[in-house]
Amino acid sequence: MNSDFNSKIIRLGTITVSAAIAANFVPALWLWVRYGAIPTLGEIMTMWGMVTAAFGMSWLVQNLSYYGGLGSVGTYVSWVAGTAADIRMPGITMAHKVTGTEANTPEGDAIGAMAVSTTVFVSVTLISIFSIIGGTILPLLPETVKTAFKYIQPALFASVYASMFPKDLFAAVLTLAGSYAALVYLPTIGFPKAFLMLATVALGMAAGYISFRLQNRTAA
Amino acid sequence: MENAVNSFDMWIACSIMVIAVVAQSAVFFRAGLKRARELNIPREKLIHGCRSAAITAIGPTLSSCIVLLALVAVIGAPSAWMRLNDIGAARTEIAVATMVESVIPAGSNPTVKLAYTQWAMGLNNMGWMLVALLLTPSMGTMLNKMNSNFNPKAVKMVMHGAALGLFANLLAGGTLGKAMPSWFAAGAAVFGIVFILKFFGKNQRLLELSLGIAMVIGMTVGAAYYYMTL
Repeated sequence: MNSDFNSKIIRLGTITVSAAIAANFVPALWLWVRYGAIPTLGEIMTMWGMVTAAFGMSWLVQNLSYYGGLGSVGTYVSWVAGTAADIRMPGITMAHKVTGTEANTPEGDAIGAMAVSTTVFVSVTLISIFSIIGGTILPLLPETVKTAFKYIQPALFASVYASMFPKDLFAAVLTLAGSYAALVYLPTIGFPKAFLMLATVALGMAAGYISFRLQNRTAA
Repeated sequence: MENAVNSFDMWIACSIMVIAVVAQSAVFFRAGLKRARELNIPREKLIHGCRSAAITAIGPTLSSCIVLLALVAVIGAPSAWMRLNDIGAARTEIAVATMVESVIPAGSNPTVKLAYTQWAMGLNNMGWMLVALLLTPSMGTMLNKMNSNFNPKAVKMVMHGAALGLFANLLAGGTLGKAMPSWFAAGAAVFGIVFILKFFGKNQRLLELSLGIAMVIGMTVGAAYYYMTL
């Protein structure tokens, strides 16, 4: 990323994420101010300990793992708006695909920033509509439709993965095979599940590098 | 004590975070647009990119809306609206709400329970956002240094490999140990997108819709297999 644009993104990201952290506590603080309902400080620290123990590793691992695909803007937006894997990354990936741009290029960064923001506008709009009318609409959905939505994740992740085939088929096949093997065998030898994502990302990076060396050797 | 769970003032309090989410995206959209203009990227290209991102976002968002009712039952509509729009999947929020039950004093009324739950969810979300705040600047700087010190093509392919590793993990996790319909859904989606890219790759409109179409194909095949084997 161009360093001027990168500096601007970091500045905007720092301001917006800091604001989001504060906004995140407004309902809790409102319940205290308006209704006098608040846990004790000890109970707050207990809850902090509970969520850190349950999710702390994910905070770190997922931030590191997803950065390669999200970039800086995608990271700032995804860790405020959420659903990085299901919505933000696929949105960025498809935007790059249809525009013929790539991540970590000046054009790709500009389009990626607009694309990930667009996904937020869509998701907030739809979630808001469903929050108001969902109680009426959702029970009316046919059971077959609700069943189909149970398979959205494998369908989504498979189609995003396959959309990346043309860019580097060798690395894609190698990474996929390696990732399945890693998820099957690594836990059996005591490899911590919390680090499996980092392991497959590292595997993918190695596959990408091997592919680069092979292409260079062929070209030479 | 009044029941605040679905009160009008809770909608207002919860809207602050939703406004922050949208405002952040508006800020970055504007920054991206300004940069695009500096780079003379054609307007058509920007429209195509944003449209494909928008279409791609619809299916997965609808999927999370289906979980909405479960979250509403636990924390009320205003808080569910807020938490589905911010960091933390619905299943994570439900897990946090369940976890915190052991801390809530017995016999607490709904407003007190909501207060405890909002604090727990707020603390969990803060964790995500704090790590992003602290790590992202150095990750961006590290990437710039890599591009300066190493072959940019190698760096590009390695970073693409990182994205491959991420989605390979998600795909493997979404199929391993799951029933056959999940495998069929994944396989059909792969077939769908490969078919579209191979035969309609030059059709701009179909390209924008390709992920959505492949997803629907996958979901339909998965559900069809499920019902066929009932």
